[in-house]
Amino acid sequence: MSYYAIPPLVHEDLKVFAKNHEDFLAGKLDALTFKTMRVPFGVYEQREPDTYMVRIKLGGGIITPKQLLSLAELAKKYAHENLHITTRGGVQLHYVHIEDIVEIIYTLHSISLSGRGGGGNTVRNIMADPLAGTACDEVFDVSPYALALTSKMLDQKDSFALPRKFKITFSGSDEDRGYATIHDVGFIAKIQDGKKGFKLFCAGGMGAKSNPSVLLRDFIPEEEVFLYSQAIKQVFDAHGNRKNKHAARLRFLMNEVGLDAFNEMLEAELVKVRARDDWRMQTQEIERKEGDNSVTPFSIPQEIQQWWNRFVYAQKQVGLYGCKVPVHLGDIFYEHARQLANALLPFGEDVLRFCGDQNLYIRNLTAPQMASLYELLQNFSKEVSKPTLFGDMVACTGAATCQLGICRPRGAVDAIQKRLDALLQTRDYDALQGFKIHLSGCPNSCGKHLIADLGFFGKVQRKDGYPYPAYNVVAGTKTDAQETVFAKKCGDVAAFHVPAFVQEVLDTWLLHVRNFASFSDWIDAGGDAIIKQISTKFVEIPTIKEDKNPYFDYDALELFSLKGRGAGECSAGMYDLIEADKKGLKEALEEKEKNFSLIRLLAARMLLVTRGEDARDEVGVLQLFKKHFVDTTILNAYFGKLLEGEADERSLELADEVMKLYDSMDNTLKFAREKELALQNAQADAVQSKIHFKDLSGVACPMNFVKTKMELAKIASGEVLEILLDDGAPIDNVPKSVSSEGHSVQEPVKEGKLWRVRIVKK
Amino acid sequence: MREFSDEELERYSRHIILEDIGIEGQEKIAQAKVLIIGAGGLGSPVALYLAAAGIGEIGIVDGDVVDLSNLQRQVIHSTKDIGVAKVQSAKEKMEAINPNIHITVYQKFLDASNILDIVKQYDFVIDGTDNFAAKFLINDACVLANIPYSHGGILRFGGQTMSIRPHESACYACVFDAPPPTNAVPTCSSAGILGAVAGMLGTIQATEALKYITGAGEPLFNKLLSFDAKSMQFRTINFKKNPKCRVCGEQGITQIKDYEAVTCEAKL
Repeated sequence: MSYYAIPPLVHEDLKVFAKNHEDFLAGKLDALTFKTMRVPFGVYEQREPDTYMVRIKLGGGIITPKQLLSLAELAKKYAHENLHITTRGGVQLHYVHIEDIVEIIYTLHSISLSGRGGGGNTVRNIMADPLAGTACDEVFDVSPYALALTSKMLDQKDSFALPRKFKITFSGSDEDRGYATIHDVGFIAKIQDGKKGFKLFCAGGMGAKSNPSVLLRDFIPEEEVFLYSQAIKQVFDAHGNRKNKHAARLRFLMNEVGLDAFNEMLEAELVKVRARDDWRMQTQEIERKEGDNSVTPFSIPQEIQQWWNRFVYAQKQVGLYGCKVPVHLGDIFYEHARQLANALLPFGEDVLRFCGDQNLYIRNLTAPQMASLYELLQNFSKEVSKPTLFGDMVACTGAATCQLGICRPRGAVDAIQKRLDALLQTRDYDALQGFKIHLSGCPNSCGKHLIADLGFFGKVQRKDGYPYPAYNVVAGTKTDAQETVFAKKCGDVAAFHVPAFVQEVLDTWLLHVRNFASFSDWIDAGGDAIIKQISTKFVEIPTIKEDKNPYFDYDALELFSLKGRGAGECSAGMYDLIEADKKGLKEALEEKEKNFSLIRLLAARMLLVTRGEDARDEVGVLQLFKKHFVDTTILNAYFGKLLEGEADERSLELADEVMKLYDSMDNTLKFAREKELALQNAQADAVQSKIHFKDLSGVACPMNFVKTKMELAKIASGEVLEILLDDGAPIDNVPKSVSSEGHSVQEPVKEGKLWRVRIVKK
Repeated sequence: MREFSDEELERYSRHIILEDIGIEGQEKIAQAKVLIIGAGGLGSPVALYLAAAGIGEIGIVDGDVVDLSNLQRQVIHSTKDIGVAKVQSAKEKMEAINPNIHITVYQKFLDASNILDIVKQYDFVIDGTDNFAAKFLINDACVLANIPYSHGGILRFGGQTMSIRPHESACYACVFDAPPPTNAVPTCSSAGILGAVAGMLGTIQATEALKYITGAGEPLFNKLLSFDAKSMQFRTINFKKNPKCRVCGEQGITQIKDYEAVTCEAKL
């Protein structure tokens, strides 16, 4: 079997969802409520209003040709003609109409695929090494475990309402191609005393506070895969931070309580899961055929030799071959998907994988079968006919569509590819087989820059008051079971110079590549200093008068600006900007002849980014400073006065005050004074802002009122309780009764067939 | 805050719905300890209602066994209980109504030697006795131990009750001073009692206990309620605490002693 089973629970949930969908279309259910229902089914709204996408789980990235064929049909019929491979090896349909989504989901279920838990705070698509079952170095095939665990997790109600997303993966060997060492839960295959099992890693991840995983158990037997996954999930469910989504992932819990306390919690949950009769996970081996050695040795045609060398690999099964197909940004045109599916259909079920690197992998073909696909695969991307370096570039969507993005890394990738493409005649990039260039638009790690050979993450620089897009450079990751090391900082470059910088780094590495086992070895042996040295040539840009181009990001139509970016969420980029002004201010303060105007400007501007503001001229800066720092009473009114008119020696006091303010800033970009103010406000509205909730749907009169009173008794005066009530007698009576007892009851809001009633306790 | 189970929420729902009781009131009821002295005509309805209401801890005192002549008014006991200790018979019925409460039985008559130790353990006391000696003894004990209680008495077609908060409201002795001389008043055996009247007064006492515990309304402090069931006339007489009261006044009692008992053959 090459697919996961969809448990009855998911079918049940879909029936409810279909009903809600109907109500939503009929205008009986509001969009917000519907959103809470569709997101756990993997249905997201796109940035363009009223367009949606459906995210579909592929456990272990495993997909059969038949499934691919159906997906291609769905893409053609309902979506934007493309199938999109996700960064978790799942698949997405884009630009679907909201009317069609239930039909799409029913079709998906008919081919044993589900979007349940595709998005939201759920157990996300369970990944596996894309070479699982075929790699020469693997201990055993982990694919069946990814499928079985997908089915089991879909069958747990608690998989869909976690504090934050929860990611699981499998690797077949210590090479860790499944990235088990940077997941919430990661398994690496291991055989101990002749028994199959796994090394268990836990609480790793990238993004805010990136952390490689902790080796939680050196060996767990194979049947305990679900036991541990479920128990860790229960620990997360019970103890994870639900208040602050920026500090909610499992690694924050691990950091907070420490390994010992975590293990204690885990032991307690293990006992609970073991008490269930279904904790042992059954797996079903995927049938493997042997390669065909009876035919005369196959000689690879000359014209496909280069492609073969780049992308085709010999499997552990003698005579069988696998191949990686680079897919540009993960997008597959439906017609190409259909052609591939049809071509693969005769070769069996287990011939295809999608992978988190947004590429697809073909497998279990004989050499002639593989060679027969060459023509067809050329359609998938121009990278198919390029060295692997091209297809292995990864970029997040960046500021083009992401609110947190600082830079636009996709445009940068295109620019890098264009530049390197022109050099193909003179450079042997095939010597850099497997070299990975990853870019993220901000310090969050969606572009996976921390696991790149050469990585970039977006930041802001400023020249003469004008901000321009730039990148931090990181280099030299190592991912394996022994030691996972994230790429380390090796300088900064202007976004404008990234292609030239990449070219020079690659040229330099080409000089050394034969002398080192890996790029990371070279970085460790002094390569980092060389890269830093190179970066210094590419960080400066001309003034805006000399050349405007570096002040535009790739594919951007407007001058680069940070305005409107989510303040406080992407803070690492902000710090660079603050530091730049701070440095300028310090220098200005040390001058003998003080330039009060400059000092006032720098002092006022230095902390504006913490408020998500960005002003170009002095008037704008001073106005915004007044708005954010004086009017809010973070600074007193005296400082407001000295922002008016010509700058004078009082600017020194302002500089002093701003420096003090900066010293009092914490890592959420909040100032001490601000926190005092917030505390005062909080004490005033603390009680009010706290919302309690009780679902009383299905509870008849008068027990719904009794239970409402029970909930009210638990909360303090002034706090808010929201309840869900059935239509009819409940909504007619309960609010009246609550109100008659003196609580303040707000106008009930219809949610589907239910009513949401908000009560402020007297 | 105590979390009531769904079973409890449903059981007590008609209390909780009451604005003056609610969850908070029911929680007070669940935490309250009430002592019922006498498992007879008054004690029967009191015990049934307080058990049903969910009083968390109920003590019940009676040294007697169930007699056939009791059954006309002592509704907590059944024919099959004849010869069984009244407290035991009562406990069974109360537990059958509400298994969530705890009941302590004292199969004895109270006297000066034991009453204080028992009364002290409770928040509220119900006087369900049938003779003046016991009623004055209870008053003395409650005043000394500073425990509020409900006095009750019935005869023929009439009844009277008042609630006492020692040292704050008039006590039984403030109103009646001391037991009447022996044979000055008819005893139950010679006077008789309409069974339902015992139920009327007992339920009033149970109500008073619940009012006091939950803080709902105003208990009959400084008020004597009396009624005549034949005309169904109720009246309330206001009293004040007597500063010179023999029991609770400035020169009040400091020790407990037994009053001369007027034994009654047929218990109320």
